Amino acid sequence: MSVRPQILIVDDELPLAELLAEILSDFESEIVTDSKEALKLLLDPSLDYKAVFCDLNLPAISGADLYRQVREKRPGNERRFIFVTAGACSPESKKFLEGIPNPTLTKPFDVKTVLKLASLI
Amino acid sequence: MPLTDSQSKVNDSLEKLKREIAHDLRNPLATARGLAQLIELSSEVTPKLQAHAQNILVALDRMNEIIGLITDVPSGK
Repeated sequence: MSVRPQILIVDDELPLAELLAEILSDFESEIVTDSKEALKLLLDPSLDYKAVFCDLNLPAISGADLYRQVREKRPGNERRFIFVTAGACSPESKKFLEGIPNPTLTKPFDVKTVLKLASLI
Repeated sequence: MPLTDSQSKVNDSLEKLKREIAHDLRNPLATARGLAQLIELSSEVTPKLQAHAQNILVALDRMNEIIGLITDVPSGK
């Protein structure tokens, strides 16, 4: 029987996503590098991730747009997003992050910071 | 004195370039730093390897500071 993943990691940079999964190895996690695939999973009612570590700067669908679509179509689940950023954000991204209550993880992040965020799950 | 249109365009391009530098350099930097830290924290490696990992972390933190210096340069707005 396969175990349902508790954490979704969305990042187009596979090595970074794999690192997060390694740090979070106490949890079952699923990695997606394609934001369109991430959207499908996030909107799938049969899936219920406890946390979504999401890169803000994604090609195709941005992290902010993934968040907005989840907030609209599965209200409440947007609270599970933890945004991963490289620090220097565009004015739009900065405004977006300032307007939501979700935690942000800045690259390069500390392993202990990731574990601390995971402990809140 | 207000900026001309061409000066504003140059500034906007510089801002975009700085964001791209931060994003493109910090992605591999974050991966390398995280892996070095996992080695440092591991109980399965020798003290010598842990010391190497600590030195890698110091070097990568210096690189991150340099990226910060580049991205923090004001673009004359």
